Amino acid sequence: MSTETRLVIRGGRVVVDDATKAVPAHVLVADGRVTGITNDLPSDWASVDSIDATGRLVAPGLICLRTHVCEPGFEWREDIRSASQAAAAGGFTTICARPDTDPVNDVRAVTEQIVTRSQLAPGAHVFPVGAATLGLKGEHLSEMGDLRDAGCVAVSTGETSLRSTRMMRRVFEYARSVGLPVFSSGEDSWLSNGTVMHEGQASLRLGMSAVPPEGEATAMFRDGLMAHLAETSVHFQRVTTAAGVRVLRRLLEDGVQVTAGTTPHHLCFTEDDVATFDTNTRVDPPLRSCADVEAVRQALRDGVITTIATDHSPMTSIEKLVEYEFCEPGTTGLESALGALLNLVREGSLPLNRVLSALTTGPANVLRRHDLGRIAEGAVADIIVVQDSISWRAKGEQMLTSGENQLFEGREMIGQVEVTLVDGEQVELTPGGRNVDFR
Amino acid sequence: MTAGTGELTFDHLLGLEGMDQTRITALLDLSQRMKEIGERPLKKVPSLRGKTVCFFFVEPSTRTKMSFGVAAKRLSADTMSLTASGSSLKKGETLLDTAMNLQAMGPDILVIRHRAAGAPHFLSKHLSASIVNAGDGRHEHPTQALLDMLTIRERLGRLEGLNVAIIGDIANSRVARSNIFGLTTMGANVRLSGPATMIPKGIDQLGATVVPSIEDATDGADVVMMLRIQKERMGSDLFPSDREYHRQFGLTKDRLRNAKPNVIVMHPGPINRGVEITPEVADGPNSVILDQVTNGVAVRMAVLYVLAHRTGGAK
Repeated sequence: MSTETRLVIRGGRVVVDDATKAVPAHVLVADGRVTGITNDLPSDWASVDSIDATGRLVAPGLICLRTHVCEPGFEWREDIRSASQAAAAGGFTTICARPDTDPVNDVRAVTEQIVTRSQLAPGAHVFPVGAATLGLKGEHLSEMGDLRDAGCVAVSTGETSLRSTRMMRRVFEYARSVGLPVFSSGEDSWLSNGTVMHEGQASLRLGMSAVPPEGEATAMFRDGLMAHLAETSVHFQRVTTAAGVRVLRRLLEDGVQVTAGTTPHHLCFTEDDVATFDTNTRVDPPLRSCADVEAVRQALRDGVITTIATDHSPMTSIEKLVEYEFCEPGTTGLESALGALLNLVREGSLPLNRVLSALTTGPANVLRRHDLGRIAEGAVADIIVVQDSISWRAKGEQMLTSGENQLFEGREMIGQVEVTLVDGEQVELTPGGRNVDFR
Repeated sequence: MTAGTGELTFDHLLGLEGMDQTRITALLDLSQRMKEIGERPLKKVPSLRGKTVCFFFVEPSTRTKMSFGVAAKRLSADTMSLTASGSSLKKGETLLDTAMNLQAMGPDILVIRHRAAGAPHFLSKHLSASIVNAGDGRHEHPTQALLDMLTIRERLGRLEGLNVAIIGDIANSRVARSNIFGLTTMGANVRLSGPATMIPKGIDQLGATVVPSIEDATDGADVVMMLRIQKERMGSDLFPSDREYHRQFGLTKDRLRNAKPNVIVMHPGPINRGVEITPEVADGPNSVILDQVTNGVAVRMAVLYVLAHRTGGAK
């Protein structure tokens, strides 16, 4: 084995066994794969490339199931190149691109464009997620088989759950037959339409139109039942409320094949942060109550929520310099997610193993990719080296994303990603690497 | 005019939430003195001579805008005005760009009405002029609540301990929100009533009490404040019909019987006669609806006066 080794990551604490523990070991890499985890360096290690990870955490590359790469259609905000660079800078080696591009990723041609562009992008893998229905309108099924063949790893129903329950059933049934996971946003569009914040004590004071947490719970319950009826699984991308967590627990008890995720910002911010009308707090789903945040954290501790996705949605500052109610939702997140979450670990709010698995094995399992999100022999050598005792403050201007909307601006972060390996190759980070000559 | 503002200084008037009793009382006291100017044969003082007040109304308004205009003129301020239909906002210019252009013309005070909550707060972070919130979405309308409190205090001598019923579309009303903040701070007992579709869940957290029927609200009331049914702001799912609304929640002479004998009836206007209030009540002996309008000018004079003195200027 040692004769094939191309790279050795020496002396770090290696995260293994579904992120349940970190053991001192060396990681051997060859041809883009992990070839060994060992306490004994191969005799010829000095003759191959090596990375000194002494005192560092060596973790599987992070996987984000929900990123807006903004290409095609919104390249003034971000493009695949800058998104993949920002991802790598933040420790993500795989990002899944939302289908709500312009045009929507509901046909092979769009998927192929994303795949082709991502192959040229010097950073994280970019996996396209297809639209489950044409134009995400919930009226006609997309050609999911063709989307899968072109490279889509899942299909999504879009920003809200489909209005038609019957169509939701068909999406689950058809996706099962082509073998694609279904992502649902778990949001009742009848309740959420036109709202800009969470219905609670902050919306009472501010008088802005608000969505009650029951919107999440009702949509999740219905989509869970439809997935069960179709004998397949559903992944809820953003569970953000106590009501949603209750439904999730109930569905799991009932044997529904359901997985669920949340976002770093829904673990760190509350509705009270909206009080200053800072448009960076305008996100979708909206920031929730303290009780909701605690319920979501508890679900993560219990292993009921198994993924954390950044929901990275870059925008220019001009787009955020508007009236709160007219502002589009979203915050960047790729370069602040790990730091913000490790800070929650430091505070004692979340256990490290749950955070790491929610960023690695959890999402890999949703994608049904058992060669991703883990450091194990034969797995893809997507690996990060993290100096996890460093504390710093998030600064948007130092980030590689082109997005200028940074909800975490100024927040304390723990842990610096020092090395990002994708397919066994170290990613070179070049600030300002966004393609300006986009076509 | 030698009304000293004492410690009463504001950078902006964005809302009544968080404004304490001392400041509200001081503003009302100053308003009372301003009111006297409007009763003189020559209704003008030079307090704001050389100051410029800009009215920026991005949502339709008749009485509020005119009231601010009269207030500014009585204080001798120069005024300019921009309304949404006549502005570049229609051509796609952002609110901030339009406001920056207005600022470049050098107003000391910018009075803004906007349909988005927080628009005045947003501008206050980017502009150097003092911002007055003349109504932002469903959030706040501080000068309306101040003029309401002035009217109540004038008629009943105090605010503390009074039973104030606010009836109607609480959810969609910035007037209700500002009044709840102001009146509860001043120690009044605020009762709310209306169809449940118009009462936001948890509104009692703001210190008001929600009662089931209009009769419960008016029982022993010192003040009954009716809110306008805001047809332009609501979907069709809040109440079945005008007729039903009037029968269930309209203020009639009958429904005033259980109130205190000297109860005052208020309405921020414009009135939908025969819907939320009958003409005989609106025009009856308990009605102070037109006093509210008169007091509106006085309150706005006080607000402009205080803000203009923030920067030094007129002494």
